[in-house]
Amino acid sequence: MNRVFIFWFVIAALLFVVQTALMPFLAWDGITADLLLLMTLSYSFFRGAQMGTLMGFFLGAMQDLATGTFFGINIFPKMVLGYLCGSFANNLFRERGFLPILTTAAGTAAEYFIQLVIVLLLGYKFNVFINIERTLLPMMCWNLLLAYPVFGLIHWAVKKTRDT
Amino acid sequence: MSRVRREHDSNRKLWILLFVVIAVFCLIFFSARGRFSTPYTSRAMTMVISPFQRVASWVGDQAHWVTSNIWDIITVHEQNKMLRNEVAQLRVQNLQANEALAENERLRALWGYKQSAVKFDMVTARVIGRESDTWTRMIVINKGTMDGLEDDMPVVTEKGLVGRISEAGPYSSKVQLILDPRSSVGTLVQRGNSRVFGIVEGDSGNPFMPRMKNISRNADVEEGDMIVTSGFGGVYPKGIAVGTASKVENDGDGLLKHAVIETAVDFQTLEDVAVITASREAPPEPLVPPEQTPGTETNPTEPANAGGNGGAAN
Repeated sequence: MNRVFIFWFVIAALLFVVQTALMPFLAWDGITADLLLLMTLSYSFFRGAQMGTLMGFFLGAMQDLATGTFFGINIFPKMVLGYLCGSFANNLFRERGFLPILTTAAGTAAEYFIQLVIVLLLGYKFNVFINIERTLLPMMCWNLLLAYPVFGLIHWAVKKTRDT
Repeated sequence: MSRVRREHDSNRKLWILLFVVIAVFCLIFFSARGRFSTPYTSRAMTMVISPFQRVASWVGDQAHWVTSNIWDIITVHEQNKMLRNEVAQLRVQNLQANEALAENERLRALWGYKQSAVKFDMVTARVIGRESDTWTRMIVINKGTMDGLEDDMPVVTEKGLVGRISEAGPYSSKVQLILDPRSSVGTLVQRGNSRVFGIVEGDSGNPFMPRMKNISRNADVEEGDMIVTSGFGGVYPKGIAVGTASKVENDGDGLLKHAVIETAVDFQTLEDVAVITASREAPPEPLVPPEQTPGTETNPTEPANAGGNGGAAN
């Protein structure tokens, strides 16, 4: 059990480090991919709603604690999306090739809009349409570009942890 | 029987999930209002992650160095032409600057004013992580409390203000950039005949262009004005460049306007920063009494009302 936990922690830390230390060199107007969201979506896609929610909680907490943003702003959407993605994936044929792309597109948009509502509720004012253009669209492109590699990595890791 | 039990378990899990989701939602608002924080867990997480970030950042730097060198070689001819032009322009600017310097010295001598020198103690640091979060702007640097850093210390580059340390860990620290919507910096317009005060805050709608707010509509702020820190508030020393006003806009129907700031620091290429660990302003020199006409001397240390000359102090 401990081995499996450490294995997943290392994968999460690896993706987080790539996201915060390497991806900024390729950032598009300061925006890069949210690899931890991709990991949440893909993990819940393969392991179902319950495990997906748990993974969403841990990855969101990791992101919030390590970056100093509003605490919970990543935990909340990742938990919700882990649950929803896991629930929907139960009723689908997971082998369909286009599903990672579809899941990523819907998940990225959903996370953005959940966080948008929270930030607006916190009292910050800004032009939503400009923000969508400057942040959601570049992030969507990045996430779609990296969807298959991350889904592939998580698929491999899920298989490996099931075998051990 | 077992079906009933399974249903009961499933309902219980759903309730627990609902409770956690609502609790996390409430936590966001508590933490944003400063009523909830996790300093120890946060520091522990940063400590675990930062060594990996250091390594990845180093690898990224090397890759960036190699690619930029190759690009430099490809574009060297064009750059050479541009640099020649720039040298010519700088020569003209240098002449003008020398003129301004001479004028400045004359004016200082005229007013008998000696500007007190502000000196800073600084610790240089490398950026090892950037938050890719859409809503806030933070970076992680490779120095912490073991290097003498503390919370709220200002972070700068040679070009201007970067932000402040929001959380100093032992070997790394989180820096809240001036682009973060939670950041507010007391600033003023550097132009001598303006000196308008305002607060620079990050703008979620335009992440790389913060706004100078709370400027009255008739205040003298123009596009191109240099904005510097005011020194009010005690976090940022006075006179550090924040940026230039690129646009001045009215705030809806109110009596205020705001300026959109083009920051002095290029945050997209930020690699090295300096943290101001101490700033000390040299105390003003003691006043020297003017020379007095022989035969009418008075003792300057004597109280003003002594000797029956009551109105002398004013």
